[in-house]
Amino acid sequence: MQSWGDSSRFTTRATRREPTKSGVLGLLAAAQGRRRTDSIEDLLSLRFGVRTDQPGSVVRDFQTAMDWSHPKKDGSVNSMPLSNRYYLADAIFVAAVEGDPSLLHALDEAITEPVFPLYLGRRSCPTEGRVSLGVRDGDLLTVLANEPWHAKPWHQRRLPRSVRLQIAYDTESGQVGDTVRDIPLSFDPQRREYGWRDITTTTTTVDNPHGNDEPDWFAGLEGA
Amino acid sequence: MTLFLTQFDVNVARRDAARLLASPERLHAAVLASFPPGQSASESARTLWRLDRGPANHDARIMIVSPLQPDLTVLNEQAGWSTGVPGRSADYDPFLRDLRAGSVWRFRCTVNPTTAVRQPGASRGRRVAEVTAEQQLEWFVTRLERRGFRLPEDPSGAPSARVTRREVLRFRRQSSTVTLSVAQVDGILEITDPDAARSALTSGIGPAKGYGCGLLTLAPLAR
Repeated sequence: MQSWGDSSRFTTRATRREPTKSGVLGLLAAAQGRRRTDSIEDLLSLRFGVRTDQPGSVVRDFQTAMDWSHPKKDGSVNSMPLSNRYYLADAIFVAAVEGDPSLLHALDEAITEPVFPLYLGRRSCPTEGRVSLGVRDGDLLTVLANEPWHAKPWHQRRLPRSVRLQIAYDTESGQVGDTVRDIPLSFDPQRREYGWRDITTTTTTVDNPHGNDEPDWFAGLEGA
Repeated sequence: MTLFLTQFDVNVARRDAARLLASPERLHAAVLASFPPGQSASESARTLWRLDRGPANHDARIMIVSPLQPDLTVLNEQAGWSTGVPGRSADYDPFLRDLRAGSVWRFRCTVNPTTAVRQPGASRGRRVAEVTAEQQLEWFVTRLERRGFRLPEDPSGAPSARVTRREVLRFRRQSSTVTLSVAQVDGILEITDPDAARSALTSGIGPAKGYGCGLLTLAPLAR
């Protein structure tokens, strides 16, 4: 389970289909034990890209809550606002940050022994298994394109022999991209602030030896 | 016109799934239960479905083309996986809109190849099934060529399609038994008339559409 919100307001807590930069930088900052009010200036210099190895599916949690800790005088309790929370189930991503090698090595070490618990976008989605794949040499896109495919066998078996994986990364100057608001300027709970980021997407093709030769009737459809 | 393409993976180990798979009539009812009453058809399209069986026995999925996005809850409760994804739906329109003459696709279609034979003295003909795989393929190729497609010939001069599954389905409908001879055809086709092809993809080919026949789907050629 993971959930990567970039535009949630009030009782609808949405998720993007891939990790947000703010979510991943927040995870790195938590691993290093930075407090929410600490500076994250150095993390902002990192270039960010994410490859979708297994898209997963969006699930909705219609959440009801009662404020049992503050009962009223007559014994009744207030109900909290009803909310719709969206999560990604069964999704697998490779997220990469590119930047100063000493900073990357420090972050990689921190992840193996995190100070604060790590979670995938929301507190209710703790990480499981191995989080960091380690530090690699090379350019962000090259590294993402060359990383082995991490999808689960059941997912691989239902795809064709050749699979295209989407890579979404920070736009370079001069490129046009989608604009999202997920640059963390401050994680301070009193005054969270996010800046705008442009995303460009590309795809990389991986071989799928476990794939089946059944035609994929969705392959001709755009964005399916 | 809006259309949706949907894939639903069937959990064949479930008792209700076995019940549905045993009868195209029950399966049709279950597919139509994914739509509000009266909304499984529009003026230009109806709900078409097809049961695809993979090489393994547990490998069964239902493909649906429908004017409304199906709500797979009921189907999932009866024959789905309680874990994982119940199905996959996508907007079919951009694909249909972008069909070009001369483009080449892999296809699959399950049909009920029958011809009405005129009866002396009767107002309508009697439906007679094509018997051999060759006759069934010929029936299909003729229909396909009338509907805006062409089957490119392979190097040996044979059309690039073959019958990959043949079955005679017998099931109860009220107090009578329905017998259907169905053939699944796989191959490669070329679009010659995009408008006719669109109509074939949305309205189906041949009879027994309510029993899972006639849905033609296209996929890009494997690279």
